[in-house]
This record gives sequence, C-alpha cells and structure tokens, in this order.
Amino acid sequence: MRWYLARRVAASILTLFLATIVVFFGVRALPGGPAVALSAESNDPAVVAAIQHKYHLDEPVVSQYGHWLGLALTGDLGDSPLTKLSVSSVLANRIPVTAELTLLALIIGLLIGVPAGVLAAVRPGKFTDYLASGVALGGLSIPHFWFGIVLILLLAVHLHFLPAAGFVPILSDPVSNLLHMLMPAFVLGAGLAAVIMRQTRSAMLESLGADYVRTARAKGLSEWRVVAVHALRNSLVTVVTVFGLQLGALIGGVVTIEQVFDIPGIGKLTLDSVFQRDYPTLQGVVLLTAAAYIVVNLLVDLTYSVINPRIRVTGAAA
Amino acid sequence: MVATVRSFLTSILLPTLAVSLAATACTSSVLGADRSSNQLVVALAEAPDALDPTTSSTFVSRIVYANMCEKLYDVDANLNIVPQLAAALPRISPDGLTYTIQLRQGIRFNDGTPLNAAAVKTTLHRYVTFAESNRAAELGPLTSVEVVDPMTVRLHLSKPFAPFTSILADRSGMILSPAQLRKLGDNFARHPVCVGPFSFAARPSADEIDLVRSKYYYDRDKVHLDGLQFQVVVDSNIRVADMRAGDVDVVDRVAPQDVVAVKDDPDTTEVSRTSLGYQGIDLNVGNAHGALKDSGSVDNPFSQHPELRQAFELSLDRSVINKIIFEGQYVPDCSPIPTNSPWTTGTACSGRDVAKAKALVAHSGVKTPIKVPLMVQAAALPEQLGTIIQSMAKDAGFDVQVQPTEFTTALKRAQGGKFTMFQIGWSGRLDPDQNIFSFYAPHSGLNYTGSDDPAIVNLLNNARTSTDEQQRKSLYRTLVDRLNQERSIIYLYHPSLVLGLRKSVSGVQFYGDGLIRLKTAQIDSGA
Repeated sequence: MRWYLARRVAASILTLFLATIVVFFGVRALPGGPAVALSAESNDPAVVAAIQHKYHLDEPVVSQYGHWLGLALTGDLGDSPLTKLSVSSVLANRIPVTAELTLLALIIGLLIGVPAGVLAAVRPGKFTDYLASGVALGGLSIPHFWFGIVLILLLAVHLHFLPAAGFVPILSDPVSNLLHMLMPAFVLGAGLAAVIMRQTRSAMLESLGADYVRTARAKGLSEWRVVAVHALRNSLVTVVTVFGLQLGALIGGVVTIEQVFDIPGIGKLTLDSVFQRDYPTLQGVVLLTAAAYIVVNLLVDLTYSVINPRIRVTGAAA
Repeated sequence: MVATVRSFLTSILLPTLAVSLAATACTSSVLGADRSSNQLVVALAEAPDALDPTTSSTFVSRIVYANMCEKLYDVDANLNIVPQLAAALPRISPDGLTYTIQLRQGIRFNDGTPLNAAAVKTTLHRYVTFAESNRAAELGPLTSVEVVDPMTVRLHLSKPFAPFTSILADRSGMILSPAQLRKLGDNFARHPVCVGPFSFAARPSADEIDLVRSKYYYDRDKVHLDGLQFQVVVDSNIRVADMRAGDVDVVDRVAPQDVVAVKDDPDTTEVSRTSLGYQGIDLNVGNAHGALKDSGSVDNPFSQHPELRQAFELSLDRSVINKIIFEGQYVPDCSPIPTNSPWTTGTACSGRDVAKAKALVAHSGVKTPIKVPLMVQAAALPEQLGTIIQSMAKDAGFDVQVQPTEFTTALKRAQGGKFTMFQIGWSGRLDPDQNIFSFYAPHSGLNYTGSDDPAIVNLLNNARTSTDEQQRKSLYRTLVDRLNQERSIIYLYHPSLVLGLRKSVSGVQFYGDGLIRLKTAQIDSGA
C-alpha cells in the first residue's frame, strides 16, 4: 500500500508538472497577451512595454516559466495583471464555491442516477426502463447552458420559486446558500446522473445475470436483498469508476454553469482568464484543477477496496 | 450494503462536504440575499480592470468610478461640462497654454485627508509619469503642474489642446488620495481612495466590487444608500432575468433583444440614451506592417481600389441593419460624432444604392465575386451583424467571409495589420477629438486601418489646437465629410445604452456618457 501510494504521488507530481508546462506554453500561443488586453484603449507602445516588463513577458518563455515555477513552489502564484489582486487570494475565494457546487452536483447525480439505473435494470424492457433511459438520454443531450436558462426562466422569473443566480456563503444564510445552489447543482448533476444511470443499469444487468445472484435467489432471499445487497454492491465498483472519471466532465461543466448562474467559482474564473489573457490566474487555476483531479482519482482508487474487499490496492494493481 | 454506503459516506463524501461548506463560509457573497435592504446591486456587462484610474482602460470601470472617484469636472444631463471637484470651469489663457483651476473648499478624500492643490499635483504627476499609465497619452501636452495656492493649481501645456477640459472630466480628472498613494504605491488598485459618495470596501474577486457610503463625502446628505455591490454578469439575458427575479436592482447595457422583457415586466423599467461612441467597419487601407509603423501598400481590394470602399458602403443599408438586429433602437449614422453631442455635424449619409455600387465594382475591373474577409467579435450580435453585411454586400458583387474572432486575438491582428475588414467600435468621449484623432493619426496605436491622409491629419490638428468653439465645429463638419470620402472606417451606427432598473429604484442619474451615477439613488422597500 505504501509503495503504491508513493508511486501514485510521484506520478501525480510529474503529471502536475506536465500540466503546468502545457498550460504555460499553450496560453502563450494564443494571439495577444495581457499587454494587448490591458492597453486596448490606447495601444500605447510605452504602456505595452511597461506591462510586458512588469510581468516578465519580455523575457524568453522558458525563463518566464522558470520564474513562475520558482515562485509557485514557494506558494506565490503572482498577481493578476487585470485586477492587481493576488492569484492565491482570488483562488482561495473561488475554490470553496466550486467545491460546494461540484459536491452538490455529485450528490444529486448519485441520488438520481443509481436508483434510476437499478430500477431500469430490474425491469428491463419495461416502462421504467424506457423512462429512465429516455430521461438519461435527455440528460446527456441537453446542453447545460440551455437547460440552465430554461430553469431560470421557469423557476426564478415566472414562479419566483428559486433565486435566478448568485451565491451566498453558508454561514451568512444556510437556507439561502442552498436555494442559490440548488438549480445550478441540479443542472450540473443531471448530466452526471444520466451517465451514472446508464453505467449502473449496465453493471446491474450483468450482475443480475451472474451465477451468484441465481444462487442467492435459489437460497430464497427476498428480491430486495438480492438486488440491493448482492447485485448492487458489485455494480458499485463501476459506478465509483465513472464517478472519478466524470470529475473532469464536471469541472468542464462548471465553466458553463457558473457563467449562466453567475457563480463566482473556478469555472467562471477560467473563462475570464482566457479571454483577458490573465496568464498568472489561468496558470494558478490549471495547477489547482489538475491537482484536484489527481487527488480525487487517487481517492476513487482507494475507495474500490472499501466497496469491494476482494480488490486490494497493491503495487501490482496500480 | 448499508455498511458500504456508510463507509463511502464517512470516508469520502462527508469530510469533503464538511471542508467545502466550512470554506464557503469564508467566501464573499454574490447577488441576492446577503445584503442589507438598503444596498443596491448593479449587474455589469464586463469585469472592470484594476481600480486605479492611472491604468484603467475599460468603459465599465468608469461606471464604478462614477460612484467612488469624482473628477475635477463632470457632465450634466445635456453633456455640458460642469465643475465637480473644481469650483468653476478652468480659466484658460488666451494662448491656450495654461489652465488655472480653483478647487472647492472643504472636500475630503474617503480616508479623511483633505483635497487640495498638492493632491491634484501629485495625482497628475502620477498620471504622466507612471510607466503603465494609460492617462499619459491623454494628457500629452501637459508639461507641468504649478501649485498657485493651497486650493488653486495651474496646468501648463506645451501647445494648445482644445479637448483638455473634457479630458479632466474623465479619468484624468480623478484625484487620488496622496496618503493612500504613499501607503500602497503600485498596489493602489487594491484599495483605491478618492473623493466620492461611496468608498471602496472590497474586491474579493474580479467579478465583485463592494462600496459603502462615505463618511467624509461633502454632499453626503444626498446619499441614501448604505452601499453598492457591482456584480459582473456577462450575458444580457441573464442580467435581465436576475433583475426580474429581484436579485439585481440595476442592469448595465440591456441588449436590444432583451428590452421588451424589461418593458413587459411590471416590476422593471428601462432608460435609454444614445451612446457617445459608434460602431463601424475598419478597412485595412494601409496597415502593412503594424499600426505603429509607416503606412504602406496592402494586398487587398480596398487598398488597391479605393472606389471599392464606396461600393461596399453603398451596398449597405444602415436602417435595415438597425431594424433587423437592433430592433430599431440604435441610431444609424455615418459619423464618429453622435447626434446627441453638442458637436454633432449633421452629416447626411449615403443610402443603399446597389446599382451605383455595381457600377463602381465594374469600374474597378476586379473580378467578382470579390472575396473580402470580415473579422467580427465572436459573440451573438457582432456575428449577426456580420451575416447581414455579408448578405447586403453580396448584391454588389462582394463575397464577405465572416470570421468570428475572440476579442483579444482580433485586436492583436488588427494592430498588426493582419486583416481586411474588422467590425469594431469605440465607447466614445465627450470631445470629438477623442473619437477621431487616434484612429487617423499616423503611427497611432489605434490607427488599425493604416490611414495616412494629410488633409485629415491637418484638419485634426487644427481642430484640436483651436480654442474657438465655432471654428472647431466648422472644422469637424469638414473633417467628417473628408472621413466619408476616404472611408478607411465605414461608420454604421451609434448604439443606444439601455439601463434596466427595478421600479423600486429611484434617483439614478443616467446620461449620454453611459455612466450609472448612483449618488442620489434609493430603494423604496414598499414598492
């Protein structure tokens, strides 16, 4: 286990390093830069040169990268050329918001996806199966931004049932916090629920046809016990795998959702940073997102052994 | 099964949830519930840049400044320049080289320190000398600032500069607290202190700015709100939905297609003003090596055959464009000076004349269809505009290839001369010089088209150095005619700036400069 963890941590550090290189050089391949964005009103060469110099953009890219990496290793992610705010403080403000949104979306995705997948699997070819599959297809096909706007118009503008947008810290007003997060989390979770539903259905169908399930039924166990304890438990390994893999899709989804619902999280920050060529902020966001993705996948791998004790995390298993 | 779920919850989900929720408790609020009933929320269309008037270059930051950074001069509802921090309009010497400005007595910055002539000198010195200053070019002819007495400054110019007073009615006229400048230096934007009805409280992220009522403001009896919260909501339809749902009180720049929803909602209303700016099409007529370099020959039909510029313009119908895309709410025009400006030239625009356009195309000898790429900003309205232009110009023999391009990329290409046509505009300024000069002066960073017409440059220089208002108006009439002959920019329209607001909000001042002044705003909680 220790050897496995050490290898995974080493691989994670390498992945992070590569991610920083890709984003650092990738964003600089885009036309324009902070100086163009900041001096758009005048394009004054003196101002452009001053901005380039201040943010080391007049140095070779490799030197810029070395400078950024050196500071990043000490925890200093630099300042945003756009707002002059420190990237660390901006990230510290944004991370919790996106974390809460993502977590709520995951919970909603699980609460909808797993039961719907089980129901579809225990009654294959019946109305429940078609209904769940149809809803799942809808969840996968409908774009987040469209679904979000429709819900805003319906639930906020016409029915005044939920707030249209925004975010309220949980300690300020826990109820308001939840009300503000409900719609975006539901929109984000709906796509995840669809994926989980399909995977659960597929895994359950396989489990329900397995010999051990037939044996369980032959022993006279109730159908509920056969499904919930024997079949679902084995199917959950697939669900957890999907859960981990979908984190990337969720992070992609929050970019849209946070834009539509005006949620000041990492997704909105990412988009704004790209458009404004805010290199330090974008680099900070990518570093953080890649780290989160790696950590969650590690946790998912470790969770396998919790769900199914026959799976042991070893060096060989990695 | 139960044990499995329990272990999953206890090992992964619950700790993550706990950490996440604990962290959100420390996060600032956005929109809606976490505000007092007397705090007004404004939804802005874009994120303001750093809140230091020295470096600011966005229109939207001026909306924030309008409520926390007063200027030596401002405008009234008719866009006439009026004193704000100054006691009166400047006394200008007959040669136009010195401006003497008397300051109002008893004014304090929002940190409690006094506004005086020394503060004006400190601020203007920073504007001119700070390396990243976007004000230095505006204040170009300013050579020195003399403190005449504690409440009087005299500004010395190297040459007459007619727009100077209007420039002091914009960011260059915002006076910064010297105490705060000493304290924060280059980081002034992290906590800017000026004179204003509201003082800066926090900017937890690029998308949120919080202001609170100033304790020191000279006119604080007229300030009713406890504070302001500016939130960035990029999409107009979402800004409007937020306002209709009650999460936002005031909405910046409602898009034309959303105006109906604002009008139809019994709880919201709108106020419209014609912008001081314009939108048009830049044609690359001479930007061969970059806007800052000498003009040269460019390999495109508009540069090689000037008559094709006229043909292209004649193929367009400004009124139809306005009707189809902007619901008839904008002002079609062929001038950089808007019709509501005191400087309007009343220039008559050529209408659509496809037959004449075709004749000009035939006369040019260029084989049709003439392929001309049109770079537009990658957003819904500019892309629709590009499509309409494409459709209209086709009738005259042009094959317009619409190229939606992300804005910073488009700017980079335009600066480098790597375009044929670019649909872009300008947010507008009070003085016509500031709407025209930089777009036609050789080697100017904004002269994307590579225009280099001595007659235009001569008229521009005469108009900016003349101190006779009537003479200037006459020069601008001639100049606009000349611009319409050269056609390096084909002007299309002046946008309307539509402010959306809940009917419970009153006292908002909204003029043609598009700034949202909230000094006297109030929220009627009973409405």
